[in-house]
Amino acid sequence: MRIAIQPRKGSYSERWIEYCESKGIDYKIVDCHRHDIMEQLADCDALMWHYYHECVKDIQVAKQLLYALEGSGKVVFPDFPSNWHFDDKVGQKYLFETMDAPMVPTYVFYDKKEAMQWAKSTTYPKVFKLRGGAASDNVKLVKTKAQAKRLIKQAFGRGFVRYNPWVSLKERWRLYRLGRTDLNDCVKGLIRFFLPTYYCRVLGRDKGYVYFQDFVPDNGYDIRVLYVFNRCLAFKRVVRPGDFRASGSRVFDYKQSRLPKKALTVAFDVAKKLDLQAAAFDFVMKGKEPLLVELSYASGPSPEQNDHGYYEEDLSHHPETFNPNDWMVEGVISKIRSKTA
Amino acid sequence: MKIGIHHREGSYSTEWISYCDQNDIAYKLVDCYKNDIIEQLADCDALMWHYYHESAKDIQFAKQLLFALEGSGKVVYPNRASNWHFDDKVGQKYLFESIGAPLVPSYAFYTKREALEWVNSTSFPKVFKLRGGAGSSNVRLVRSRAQAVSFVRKAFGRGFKRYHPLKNLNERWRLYKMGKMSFVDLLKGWIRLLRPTKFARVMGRDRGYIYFQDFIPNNTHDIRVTYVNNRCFASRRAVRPGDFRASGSGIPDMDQANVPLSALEISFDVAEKLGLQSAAIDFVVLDDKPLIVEICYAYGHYDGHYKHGYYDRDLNYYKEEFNAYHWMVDWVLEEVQNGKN
Repeated sequence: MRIAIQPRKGSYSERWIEYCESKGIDYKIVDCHRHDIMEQLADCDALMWHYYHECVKDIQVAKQLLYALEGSGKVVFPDFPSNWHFDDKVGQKYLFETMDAPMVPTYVFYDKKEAMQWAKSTTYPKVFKLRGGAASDNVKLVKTKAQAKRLIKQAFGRGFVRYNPWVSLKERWRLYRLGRTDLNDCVKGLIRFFLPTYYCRVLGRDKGYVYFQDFVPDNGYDIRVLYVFNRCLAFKRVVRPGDFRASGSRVFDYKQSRLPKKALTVAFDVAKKLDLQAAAFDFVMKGKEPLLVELSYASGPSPEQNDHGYYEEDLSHHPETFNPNDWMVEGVISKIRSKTA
Repeated sequence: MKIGIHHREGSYSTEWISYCDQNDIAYKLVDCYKNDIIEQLADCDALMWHYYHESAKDIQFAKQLLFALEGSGKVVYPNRASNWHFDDKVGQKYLFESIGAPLVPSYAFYTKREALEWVNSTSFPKVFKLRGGAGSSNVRLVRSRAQAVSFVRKAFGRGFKRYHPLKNLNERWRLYKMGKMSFVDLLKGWIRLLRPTKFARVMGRDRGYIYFQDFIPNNTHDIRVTYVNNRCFASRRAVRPGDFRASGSGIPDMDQANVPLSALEISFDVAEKLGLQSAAIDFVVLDDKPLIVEICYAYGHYDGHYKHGYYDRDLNYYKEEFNAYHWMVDWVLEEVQNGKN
């Protein structure tokens, strides 16, 4: 049994390799971007690839390669159920709605006239999002009908770029003051005014659709539940000062007693129903009910996230240190075993 | 048992609806573009949608909606196996390679450096293609290294447009002269010079990857085998005069004696391995061996297409008129029934 791993600096692959080394698991480093990738994989039972949604090379090929391999019978991480909706909030609307999961009410329009009619008849504030983007990128609070109409016009007109250098610079500065990034990063933000990211140039503009979610008030934080092969860990992320967005704030609350356990129940339930390998779920609270905002198969690890224990499906808490990336390797191994059994 | 059908003029849905009407099959017309599509489908067991790869609306979410519904247990046409690689030749490279199907050797690169290295070491001519486009649009013969280098530079520079109004007009003029296009459609080509299609505006440019296939010489025709629900029908298409491209030429050869049975055999094999519902598979021939060029879940249909008989899995030929759109409905009915059993 051999696992192929696509390496990338700063990705899960670093830990996967370490884990394989420490446990004597046979693995092979592959390069998924090379045109002979199928030959490279010929002697492997599985491929693990933590691909990145803002890497141009990855977005051209990652989903396709993973789907093809899975269709041919190999085990892959992430697999189709965990992966197809990654970095695609429009897809996630349908994903959650089809299984009747408790989701923040979400509205998508592909027609300007219909979007305008809805904008006239709905209430505000609403939250506007582009389908792609992490850490609250491309997310705006829409306070008035006029503002919604402007966004709709732009969505069906010149469209939106995913990377806004001004917003990004402000965010870098905020993180610098918090001590979560260095001055170098702020300088990079300045350079981005003149040299847009390659990712953005390749991706082009988002247009031809518009996406809104209900604004759920009185949430000073959101809840992140990370599900990996039958286990979950969870914590809160505090919203940015004077803002409503928590994702990417990098201010965390790990106190487990303050977590609404119902969010864990929903996460386990959704993961089981969809047969997910891994998913980072984000929730906000409406009264006592957790509502799903979105999910991603992969997420940037938060400091200390692995130091506060994890939960099993019966919600028993295991207060020990662990690494969910190890569970991914173990999960893949058990999938290979069940295929060959 | 009820089927949800999304109706579009000129698409398969017209035939699906009349088949359901004639055979008392319960169906419901749904509008996939509406925000409440999941509610509309609540009382349906299946969704059938012949979505279109050049619709600015469809490309936003057709695959996503179908994936979500299938994941939730509904029967869908097209299903994930038939659909994920639609209008994506890059995906198809991995699809065919992963199951060891006989594909015309195909090369995809995601960095300029690797593409140029390959260009410097390969032979010419090669065929350049964008990942999307039907009817031979976005397909060029690359005769020399210098020409390939300029394609590579463009692919990793300003990129390629998918829709070229002038080339499109030329093609319309050719088909009009052949009597295969109406004057109104020709006129539309003129209008497109001044007013680009919505699709062209939404789609943006292809960049950040480059795709080539080996050029297979001495093919005066290509072979199109269409698989639908365990049956195949086949024809050949002559290349355009003074050209090497057959797809979209509008010059069919329905003589079944000219169709190599090995192409039918490969099509059945591929369809079974991948679990396809429907697929139009294009072949060229090298040393009497058919090689796959590409695949689409949906295909264009011309008058008389269904009058030349079809083949079953054992390659028995049935010289009778048929209607493959009805087979699609049959497939959905069988799947719903299987699910219920």
